[in-house]
Amino acid sequence: MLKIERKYIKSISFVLAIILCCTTSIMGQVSNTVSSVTFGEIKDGNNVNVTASLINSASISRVQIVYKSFQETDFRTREMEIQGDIATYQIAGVDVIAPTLSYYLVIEMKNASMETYPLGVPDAAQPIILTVSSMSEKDSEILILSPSSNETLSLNDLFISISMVKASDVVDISKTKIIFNGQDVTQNVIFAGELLLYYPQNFEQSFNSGSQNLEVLVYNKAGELYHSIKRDFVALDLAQIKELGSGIRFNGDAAGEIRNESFNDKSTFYQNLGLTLNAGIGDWNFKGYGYLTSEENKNVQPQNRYSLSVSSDWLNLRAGDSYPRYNNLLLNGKRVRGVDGKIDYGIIHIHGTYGEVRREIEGTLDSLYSEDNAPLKSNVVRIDSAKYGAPFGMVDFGNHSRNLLSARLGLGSKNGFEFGVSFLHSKDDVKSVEFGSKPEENLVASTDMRLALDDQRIILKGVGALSVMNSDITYGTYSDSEIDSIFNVGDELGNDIENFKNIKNRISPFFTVNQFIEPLNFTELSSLAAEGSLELNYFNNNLKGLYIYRGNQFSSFGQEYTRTDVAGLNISDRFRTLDNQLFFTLGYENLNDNLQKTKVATTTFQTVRTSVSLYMRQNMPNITLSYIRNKNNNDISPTDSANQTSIINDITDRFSLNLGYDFNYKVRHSSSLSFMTSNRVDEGFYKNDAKYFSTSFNLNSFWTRQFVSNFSVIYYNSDISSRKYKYITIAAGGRYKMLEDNLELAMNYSPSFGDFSRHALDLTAAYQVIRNLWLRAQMRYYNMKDSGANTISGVTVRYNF
Amino acid sequence: MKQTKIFFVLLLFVFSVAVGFIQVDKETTPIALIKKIVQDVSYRPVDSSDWEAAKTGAPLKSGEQIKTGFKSLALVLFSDGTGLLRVRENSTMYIYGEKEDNKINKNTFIEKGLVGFDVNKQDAEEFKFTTPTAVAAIRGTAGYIEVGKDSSTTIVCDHGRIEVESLIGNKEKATVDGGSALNISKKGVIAKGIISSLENDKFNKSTKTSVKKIRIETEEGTIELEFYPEEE
Repeated sequence: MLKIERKYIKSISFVLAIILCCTTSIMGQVSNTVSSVTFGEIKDGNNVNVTASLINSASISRVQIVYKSFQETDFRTREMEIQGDIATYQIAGVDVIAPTLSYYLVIEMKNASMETYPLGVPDAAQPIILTVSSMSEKDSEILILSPSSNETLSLNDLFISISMVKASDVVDISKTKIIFNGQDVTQNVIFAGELLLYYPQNFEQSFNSGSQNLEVLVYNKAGELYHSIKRDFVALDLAQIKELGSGIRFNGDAAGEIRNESFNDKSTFYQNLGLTLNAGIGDWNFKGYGYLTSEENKNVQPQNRYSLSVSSDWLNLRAGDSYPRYNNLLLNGKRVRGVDGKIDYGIIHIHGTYGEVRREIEGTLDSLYSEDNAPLKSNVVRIDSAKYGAPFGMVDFGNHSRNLLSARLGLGSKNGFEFGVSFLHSKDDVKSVEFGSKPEENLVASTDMRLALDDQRIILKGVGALSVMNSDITYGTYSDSEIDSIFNVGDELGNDIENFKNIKNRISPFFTVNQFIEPLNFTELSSLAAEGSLELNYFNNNLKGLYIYRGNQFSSFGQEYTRTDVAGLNISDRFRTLDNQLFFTLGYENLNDNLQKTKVATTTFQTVRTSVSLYMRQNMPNITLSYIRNKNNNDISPTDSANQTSIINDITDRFSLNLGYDFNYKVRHSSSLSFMTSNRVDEGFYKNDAKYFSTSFNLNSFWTRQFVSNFSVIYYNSDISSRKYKYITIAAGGRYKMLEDNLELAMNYSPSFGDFSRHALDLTAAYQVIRNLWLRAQMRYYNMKDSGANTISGVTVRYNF
Repeated sequence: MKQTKIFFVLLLFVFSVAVGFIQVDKETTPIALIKKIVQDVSYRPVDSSDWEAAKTGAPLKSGEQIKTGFKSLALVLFSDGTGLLRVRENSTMYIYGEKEDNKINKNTFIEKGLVGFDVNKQDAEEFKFTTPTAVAAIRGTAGYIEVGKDSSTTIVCDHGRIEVESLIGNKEKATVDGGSALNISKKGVIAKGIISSLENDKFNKSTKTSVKKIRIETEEGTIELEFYPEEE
């Protein structure tokens, strides 16, 4: 156990506190489309909810979150759910691994343009790095017995119980503080030996139903903070968990919104309506959800959302919009409008999904041409001359509707051995539109397995998938006569005509057989994707070896962002020591492309990752320092004049330092400070050198239970291919609750200076008119250099029942 | 007259508050606490011969007794966070525990009825169940123990491992693994087998903690009864 002299701790803390408080750099990102992104508690292995607040959401057609943990090879791209002016997504706990989580957003506009948050990723900016806190040995010393994590319970049943039975001898239990919904309630806590009990309903004058949060601050005998833990849960008023005489219980909420967005002198008015209804009878739970918006129209993908679900211990069935999760190669988180069902019965696991993943959008006919003057362009196509009066037309292509069917049969237990086989078949409806891009069809077969031994200390995982793709099914499967017309008996393949016909006839009921099928030769493994990993958890190490192989023709319509044409090894180790307060991470990755020799050269991608994280928890900031070096090069000689534009030879060095510090100075403060620098030296043909530096600071101060303030600064400086870009953004604001928490006022002002110039003002007022009926007014004002003054104003009414 | 009314109202208020607040001994660490109560659950303090109505969140000290009535349920959490007991209807049990350093050795005596359990993997501490005919030691186990009217004991192990010793007769010993069940007759004879469908149903039901309500309209008003519906 490392012992650090207390005076040194204090000195270091003081210096860091001064740095944190005096710096003029900080956090917050500039964007034309996203005003802020908030994350729930980011803890190793826990699900994390992400919410992005959108600016000018009328112009946004899709928002994707792209993320990966520090050790991982690939960024995962997932579609966020847009509702009104927010986009949400829940990152699964298995993807949240200490020490850091990197992310950025990809925002697709309705005019087909695209931008990222922060602006310019990956060329002109780096993904945002968030610190993932790790589970500590101390987490198992301080136990919140009740409520359980994310539990929903009745206010009448609510009591808080914290056990110190397993706490270290250095802990002084009597100094423990209990913060309930931001208020110190320690004086009302009963200390029964090593058990702390608090019954809120005995003391709280006004106790709001809904989300609650609990924080336990534990101190050592010297009065220094030893550890703190938080828990979120939901406590509902009995009125919200109604029970009928028949045994049916229900609750829900309804919300309506009107909003006007004025952007670039164009005003758009929106009306949104949402309804959620939860009901239960016995062990069965039912949920209905609907979201209707005036943004819905036939020229874009569906904006409305609706679903009905029923679930029990063994069955989960959902109709309407669902986001099924199979494996990362097959289907994971894509919206499907149809039915999705899962059965878990003992060792048998069945999952099935059927529905539409894309609806038809008819293209438009822009101009007509005769036989003689039709230009040779890809979007000039033959059209029905009887219908349109000309044989050719220039078309802005729409897209066909696309259906998807997927299923998995799994056998075994998640705690031991489980094996699964699955498939996905997805096909465009050729007749759904007249002017569409080429209709396609996709078939993927997949297997997966997981073996856990020695109490999850050894985990062996594997997943493989083989795909077949037909890139044009416009004219369907070959007929026998078409085959006869292509091949002659005297040809090289002529003797196999009948065999070919037989195979075609067997396959065609399931998949369209014509000349657009790929791959033609499966033996090259071009449409194979597979990955296998072995994880060993011994002696405070988490050692993981991963091998991936993804052929260049692998394709799954259920997982369209999978990186293909890449293979190689990724090895990482995370070592923890000092009672889970000090972490070292080391990783090496060696990948290469050109698996099927389809490129002029093979590129090798080598990455070394290392980080050290310190979570002292005793009046010391959490510190994570990381270094990543990417080296990419191919085997083209600089003297090869024919291929010199394809030369890849670059090295990128990235350093980042993240500090998080919660401290008490008069009141509680939560602060973070981060620095990130990146330097790319490009010796390739284009010499795209890039330098990048950003720093950010964020401070939240909890002055009273009613008043919380926030302050942040970001500084950004880049020099990419001799193009310089520099700005600074400051944000300050606060939230104030009054009238016994029935009125909440919030304001935030955020000016940006430099190459990015913007002034943003957000004002929000929320008032509880009667119990559970909230009226919220919101106004945002943005003044941007290129677009002038823009406003978003709206009113939302929400009722919980 | 008005003053008298005010006095009685105040007296009633003070009495209600006093009764509503749970009395806690601030020196001794309770062994367990009652996480949830459905319907009729009572407990008997160590030094008392009277049963008292149990309240949600009430701490339990070593030697205290819990009793559930018809269609009732009590969820009991141990203070060291190692396990959860589901005391089903018409059951009676004693909670015993002894703190030793940072661990609590626990022993639960089931006098009658059915108790479901979900116990985390233990480090060094003991977690035992005792019945009139057997003693069972568990580690990282879920299942249930039922004591019949003739004092025979049925032990069902969903996963994990349970070591069982008969307390009477030849004092046989046996081990029950996940997916197995064991019966100790009133004479101490042990019979092992796999979990029957009836036992499997009982186990599944023993993990349920949701309740139903019925409302009865009477001339005096509506009476609402909360009950646990699974055990017929």
